[in-house]
Amino acid sequence: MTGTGRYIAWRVASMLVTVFIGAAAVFFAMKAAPGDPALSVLGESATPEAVAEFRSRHNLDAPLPLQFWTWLAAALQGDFGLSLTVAGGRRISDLILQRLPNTVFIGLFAVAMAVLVSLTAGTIAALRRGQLADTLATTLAVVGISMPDFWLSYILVFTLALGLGLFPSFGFTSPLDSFSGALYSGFLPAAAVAAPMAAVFSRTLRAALLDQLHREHVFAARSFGFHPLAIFVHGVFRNALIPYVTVIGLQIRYILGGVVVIERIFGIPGLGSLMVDAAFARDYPVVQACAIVFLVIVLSVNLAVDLVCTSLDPRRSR
Amino acid sequence: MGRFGWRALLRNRTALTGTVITSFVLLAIVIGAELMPYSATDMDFINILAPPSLEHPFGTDSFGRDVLTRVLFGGRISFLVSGAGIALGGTIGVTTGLLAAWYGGASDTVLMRIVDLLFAFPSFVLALFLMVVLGFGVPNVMIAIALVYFPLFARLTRNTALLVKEEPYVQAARLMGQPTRRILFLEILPNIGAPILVQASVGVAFGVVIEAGLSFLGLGVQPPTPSLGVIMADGREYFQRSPWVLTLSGLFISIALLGLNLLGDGIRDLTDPRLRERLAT
Amino acid sequence: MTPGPPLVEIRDLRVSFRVSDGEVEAVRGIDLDIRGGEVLGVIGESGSGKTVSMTALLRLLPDNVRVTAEALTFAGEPVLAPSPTEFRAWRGRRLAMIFQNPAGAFNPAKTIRWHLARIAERRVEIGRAEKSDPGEAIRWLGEVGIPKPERVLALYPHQLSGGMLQRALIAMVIALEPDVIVADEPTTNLDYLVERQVLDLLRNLRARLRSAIVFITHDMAVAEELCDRISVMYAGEVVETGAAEAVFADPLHPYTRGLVETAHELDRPTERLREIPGELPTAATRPQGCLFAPRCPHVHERCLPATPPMIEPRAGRFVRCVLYG
Repeated sequence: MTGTGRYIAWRVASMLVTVFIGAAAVFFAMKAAPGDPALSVLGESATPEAVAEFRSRHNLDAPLPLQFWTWLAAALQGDFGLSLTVAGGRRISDLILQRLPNTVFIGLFAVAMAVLVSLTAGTIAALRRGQLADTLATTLAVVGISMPDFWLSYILVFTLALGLGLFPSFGFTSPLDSFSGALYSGFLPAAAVAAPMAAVFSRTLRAALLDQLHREHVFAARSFGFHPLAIFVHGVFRNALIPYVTVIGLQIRYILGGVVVIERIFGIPGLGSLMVDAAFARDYPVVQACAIVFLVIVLSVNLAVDLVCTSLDPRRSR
Repeated sequence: MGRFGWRALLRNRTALTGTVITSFVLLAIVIGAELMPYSATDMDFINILAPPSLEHPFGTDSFGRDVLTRVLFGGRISFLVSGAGIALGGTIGVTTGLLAAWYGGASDTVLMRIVDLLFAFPSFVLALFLMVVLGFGVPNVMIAIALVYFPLFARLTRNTALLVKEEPYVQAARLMGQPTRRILFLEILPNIGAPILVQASVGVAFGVVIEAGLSFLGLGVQPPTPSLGVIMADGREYFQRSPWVLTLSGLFISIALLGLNLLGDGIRDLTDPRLRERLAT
Repeated sequence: MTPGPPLVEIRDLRVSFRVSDGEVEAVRGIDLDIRGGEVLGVIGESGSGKTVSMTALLRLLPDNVRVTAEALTFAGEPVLAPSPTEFRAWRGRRLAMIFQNPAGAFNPAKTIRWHLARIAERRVEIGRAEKSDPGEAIRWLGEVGIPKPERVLALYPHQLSGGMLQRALIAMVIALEPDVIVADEPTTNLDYLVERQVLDLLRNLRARLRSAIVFITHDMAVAEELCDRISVMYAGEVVETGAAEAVFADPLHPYTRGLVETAHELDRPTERLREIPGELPTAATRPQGCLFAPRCPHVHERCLPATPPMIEPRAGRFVRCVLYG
């Protein structure tokens, strides 16, 4: 196995260990939650026999480690059990598979928007440092970070949807049904999540570009008389990508968090709204499964970002 | 770090604006709430959903309650919860970070693994999960915020403490036989205080957002206790008819956030040594 | 090699930096000539303005720096006149620089091959070659004494030592065949053995090159080896200029004398090293009159009211000191 291959294998293995520990933590924490699942499903007035029967059917009286083991064994085969209350009787894995693409779509859409905006704003701010464009961009960035994304989504709905009628204010078309439909109905939700992210990315890019602009190798490249655009692309921008991509990876946690509330506001059938509904319905197996899926998403993104950064930085890849 | 001059704080426009805005917000929720002629629960069924006016600068909600008063009282709750959560998370986080940096080796690895695990959950998802495990309500929101922020403080403290640990005055203190606790809290901590402070001010701001988000969904502070999120959740019910309730309560959060962000930025500008040298050339 | 007419003429060059509470003058009006084909040494301690003045010539100083001169010309054309875009054509072709910190001059994300390829492109751009020749990168590296050049090409800058990087940088600069090369303390950051190797390299190259070289250094002994003429700078002024042999054999200015004697002492066993007492004046402590007066063993009251003018007590020897007139 090549050096790089070994590195990737090591990172993936490490990630799986973290998933395992995380799943265990989630599982045992969930057990500490108040309320008896039997009563949630059967109702408060259930007979003791019905409760006992429910408990034995769902293996709830076995010792905890054994319960975890059983659950884990099933989960590894893709079986997360059945939903108790929020979608009674349906397989959780089905629910997740149905909803995951929507959440991922909104998340990716938001990241794409934030990257596009920040590449423009951050570059302009760095190159026109101290001038009006820079002050404007920097101020907008601070304002952008200072708005809760669910509040911003209402402002957007009020102005663009209800006011101007440009976008729908509610509802979502799955990308699997119609990609363009998803882009249209997902625009406002993604924009609400993207705005604070764009602000953070712009600030990071601006700082990274300014840092690179003052580096000696840029100086040296100018002394040789290389074309300024070439110097910018290969010297300044290229080296600024590493901190920029790193920050994108770090912000994934907040993007996904924002998506959860946004899904509720816009009625998007995603993982986040499933988790919220399950929280209200005390459907613990679903909450648990959602938490773990989110965990896997974040870890996968971290791994991907890490690999990209390693490939970008020759000092790390060898 | 030493002490940064208060005069320098005043000269830096960002820090100054941030301080002014934050002070204004704090004054509003501490004193302003008392000055309002209404209480947060006074209902006035004649004046339901009234738009903003001189008597009701933020209008009234569906029970006829003055929204501005509710926002100010709600702001208190939100800030108290967030502040307490950050204080708790910060204290545990900083202590953990210092211990990890000082003892290194196995304890460092184990502690940082736990931190990494917490980091691996999206913040809001973690908060949401904790509300399910702990149950809804004010004290649990505080615990959730503390647990969401604990890893940030732990990581930051550990990384900066590792740098400071090698400094001569720390080595000197060690050779003189000073007890570890003294060294950690009296020698190392003051010198890494600045970034922690920046993190704390930004943390309080986003803690309010987390609380608002949780309460907005109905999973955090429970009505009738007013908090900024609860008010926004109310406002959501009749958003199309009377958008000001949600808009203005959210605007209040945004202003508070803006103030705290600027303040944090300002402190960072003043105390980041690399930035300081570049600004001087 | 007989030097030609002055390629670069510098008259009353002044460089000042704007700082938070005023301006600091780093170069206080210097006159220098750079003649084609010769090695001019610019000697001085840190803060003497030697690097700043040459960087000003290459127009590489930041924007908050003010550069003025009565004359600053290359082959008769004013250096400060062209726009930045027009001036780019001069870079590499007329003026180039070898940096003090070789590691800083390379883009850390790119291989040595990439850097040399950019130089090859630049050569074509400035008309030193019709098209690039595939094997030339390896040849250039070989000429500067880099072993196994094919292997080195694939490496990244962080994988090479300071000495190797400096050689590679020298290769890049000379491949452009510039008319004037400014070598800014090229060996200061290298350890002694490597320094000797790079100096030998420069000495060998200089025989082949048509370029004029400005060799900036604080090390008198190194300057003695390499230079045809030297100018000694102190606190932003030139205090002495002359043919290298003459200056080293018979230094006129007290500061030069101090430098020369210190350098020679390092070669001989002595009990105590002589040092020049005192420190460089800063902008705040600028004395009236001769800048070196506070530290000069021969100071008297004629030194004080005004800066001594530059005079020529003997043919080709210039000195700024009242001792000579």
